[in-house]
Amino acid sequence: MTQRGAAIPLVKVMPMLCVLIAACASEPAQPLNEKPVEPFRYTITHQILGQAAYAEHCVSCHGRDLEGAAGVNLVDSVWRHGETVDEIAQNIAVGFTEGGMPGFAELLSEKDIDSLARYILSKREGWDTVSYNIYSVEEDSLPDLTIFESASPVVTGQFKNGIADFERIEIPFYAVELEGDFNVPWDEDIGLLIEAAGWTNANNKTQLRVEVNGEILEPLDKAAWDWMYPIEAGLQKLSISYYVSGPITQGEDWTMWHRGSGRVFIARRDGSAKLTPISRKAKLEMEDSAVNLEVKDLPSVVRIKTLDLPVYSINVGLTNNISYAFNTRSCDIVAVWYGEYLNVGPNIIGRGKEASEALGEWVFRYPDALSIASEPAGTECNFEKYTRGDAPAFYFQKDEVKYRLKGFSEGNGLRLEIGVKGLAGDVPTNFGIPEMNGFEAQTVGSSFSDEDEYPLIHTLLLEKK
Amino acid sequence: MDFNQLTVSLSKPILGVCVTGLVASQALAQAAGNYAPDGYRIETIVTPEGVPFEIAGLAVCSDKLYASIRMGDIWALQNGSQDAAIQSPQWSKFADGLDEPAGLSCGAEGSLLVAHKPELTQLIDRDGDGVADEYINLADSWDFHDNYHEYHFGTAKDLQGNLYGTLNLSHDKPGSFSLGAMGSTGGYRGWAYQVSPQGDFKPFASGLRSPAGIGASPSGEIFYTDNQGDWVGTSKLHLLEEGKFYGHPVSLRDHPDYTVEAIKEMSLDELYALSEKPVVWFPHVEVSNSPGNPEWDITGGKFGPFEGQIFIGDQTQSNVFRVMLDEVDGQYQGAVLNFIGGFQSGNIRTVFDQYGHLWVGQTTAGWAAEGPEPFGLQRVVWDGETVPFELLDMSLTKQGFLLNFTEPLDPTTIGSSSVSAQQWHYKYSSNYGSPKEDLRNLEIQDTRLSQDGKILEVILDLERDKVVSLDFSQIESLSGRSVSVGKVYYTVNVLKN
Repeated sequence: MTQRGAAIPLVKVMPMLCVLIAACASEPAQPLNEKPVEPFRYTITHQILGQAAYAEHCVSCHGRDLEGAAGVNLVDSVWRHGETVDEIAQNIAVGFTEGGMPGFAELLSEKDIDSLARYILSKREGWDTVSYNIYSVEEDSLPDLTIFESASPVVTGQFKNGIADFERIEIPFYAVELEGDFNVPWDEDIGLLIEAAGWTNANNKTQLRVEVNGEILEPLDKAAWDWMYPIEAGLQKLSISYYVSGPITQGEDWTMWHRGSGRVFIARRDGSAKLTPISRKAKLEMEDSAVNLEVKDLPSVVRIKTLDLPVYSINVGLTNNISYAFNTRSCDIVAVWYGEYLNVGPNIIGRGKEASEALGEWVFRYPDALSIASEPAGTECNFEKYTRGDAPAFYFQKDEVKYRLKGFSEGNGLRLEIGVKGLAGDVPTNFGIPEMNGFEAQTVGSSFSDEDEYPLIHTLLLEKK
Repeated sequence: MDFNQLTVSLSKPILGVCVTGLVASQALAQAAGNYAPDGYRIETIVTPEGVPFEIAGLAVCSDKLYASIRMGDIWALQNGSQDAAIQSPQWSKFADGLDEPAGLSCGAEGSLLVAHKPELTQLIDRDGDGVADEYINLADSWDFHDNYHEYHFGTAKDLQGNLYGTLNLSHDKPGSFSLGAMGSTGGYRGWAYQVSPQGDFKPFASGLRSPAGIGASPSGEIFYTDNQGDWVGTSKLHLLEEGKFYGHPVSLRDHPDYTVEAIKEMSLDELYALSEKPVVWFPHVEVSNSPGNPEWDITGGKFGPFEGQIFIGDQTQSNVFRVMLDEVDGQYQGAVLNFIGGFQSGNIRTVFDQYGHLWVGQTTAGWAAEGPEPFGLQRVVWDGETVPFELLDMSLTKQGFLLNFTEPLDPTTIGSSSVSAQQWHYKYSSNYGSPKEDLRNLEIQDTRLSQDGKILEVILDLERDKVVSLDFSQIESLSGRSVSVGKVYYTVNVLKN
């Protein structure tokens, strides 16, 4: 999510310089999970941008897994210079020259630095170390999780990178117990998503149990295919237990979670986005989920489920790094953003259950909206069509009036031309303009042309301040 | 496109770790069956490099083949000669930015109609440069809720010019009304719709589940396929008629005579009595897990001897099977049997071109297929000469069935044990699919061969509301040939009086 307008050359930083962000290794180490980080917002875009910036500028000093090398460990030590997103971002921007770490304000955009700070903090989410115990069970036996007390595990160990790897299970019929301190830093409604857990409804050979601090959790919808367990922000002890004694279907040789197939994530509770993987298969899936669309010579127009935008939104990416979304149910502009365009990966990989994501910085977004006619935003309309080309145009009708909305790139801004068909009289021009972040709206004026099918044109300019 | 395919797909991981992945996939594909009638072959078309060509819509309009892909593009392939597409495929992008376009059809005056999740859209290339300029909203009077499983399929056109599409139910949609696996948040999910030539939208029929294929017969009747799952014992083919209900209850929430509460109170018997019978049931795994669109062979013999029959691809089985309709007492029922197997990926779309080639559009769309590739495009080509030895047609009689073969049978291979039969039915319930209920062997009372040796009459006692399988794989032709597919499944809704 870099600012496309910022023409700052990226210079490879000498590894020796990037030593310290905010930690001091000489102080006594405090275990991660004794102090959870403050909740913050994190999206897949933060992850992608933060991970990219980390790989480019930080990995050589701080290590691939933030474990530290020439630079300090960023995941298990005390954060002396602040531990909020803003504090860490500030430290990245300014640096610690006395410690050998330069400031990155000239090298990275604000958005990149912000994403990098969130990425680093995100490494303190989920499990730190996961202990596992694997028990052998009888084929076709009824699930009985008291085996954890009554029997001895055949394999025990720890996953030290916070990722449960079910390939470690090498016996066909087993019970497994995973447990570890678990940190949830996100400031939104969060859940533990276990995909395909609905299988356990379909047979009497499997059982799944999720516990937080010793309390058994229930999925929000046990009839669902993927089970979402609501979990709260903060530090907790999470355990996941699973028992399987045979194939689910007669003649099948497959058992759920056998050999690496389990996909477990921290996700938004409404299912709209996965935030971080906590199993190996889940990690592999998320690593594949960046498919960024680029706008080339002509504007791009893409209808796709988009995070935080309402259904029926059409995304338009203009050639000057301005993007907006037009909604065909309200015929409002429900978002404007600048910077990069769209990551459609989450919506086209696998079954495409998650939403694509608008990249860049919001100028405004739903539920704020820029309404075109005199009605309040959200009023229904009749959407007729759109056209492509240099300036995509949307045609619709509200209150018997036919409109054409065209969006042009102009400088660093967006010029909107609202044409009105067949009327020269008193046509609604009372555009509802939302509060905007870093932009201002300017009504340029109106014009009339007999030659245009939509002769009356009102022009509105959204410009960067 | 449906998660019923998990039954098969989930068998793969264990193979994948016991053997190397590639070897395991190939072995599985072969196990699924590389059968084909004599004279037929599968050809693979090279798709645009670097593009995830997950085809979910396919149409032939004049000399162009159009393919819509899951990412939202529509690509055109010049198909100006029989072999051009194979020797030097010329692809160009016609449109993009559509929301999982899962159905394509030819529109008026060179336009293209695309069924994508939020809308039925007409694409027009105004300036003739080969790229669509206008994206016109033909219909959007249903509700899409951003759920991944709310697919939109179509369109098929009747002889009056009405268009028909189908609207998939949702899956794992919070707040939806579900009585099993699939759900509806309202807005005609689980319905088929009609759009008149004047553009009027009409909710047409309800009770659909995952209706991934819709097509029009040469006489303009509309048929659709549905995928096995909750309330659908096995995949099936229906005749689509106005006002009818096809079995999945949650769609009734949008019916003016029902409410969610009322639907919950309905008994299984009430719902069953309300439901239409399929024209043909497709036995799970043996024939189909996830059928695509029905495509009629009206090639005038360019595709061989099966003129008038229906060809359908399956996304899980990576096969194409054919359906033979039989009109009994004014009602359609009929038979299904496998036609050709061993495709490279999941077959979701089939379409005949002007040369009589059957094109097969492929995607796994996040599920899994017997074929090892995630997507692709293939076509089935008949060599124009070889008459395969196969079951050509099948019909019900008062005493059993007539099996019509493409060439005379060897009488010495006909006897009391040359044909075996079984019957069963599927249970209607909220369970995810149905086993074969009351499965039993049927006694073959007699077999009689016609004078020309092509028609075998099989005498046996039949019951209505059963699926009857006939295994005739031991029969040989007079010239010593064996059939490539020796098992047919006939859906007996009614008996012949």
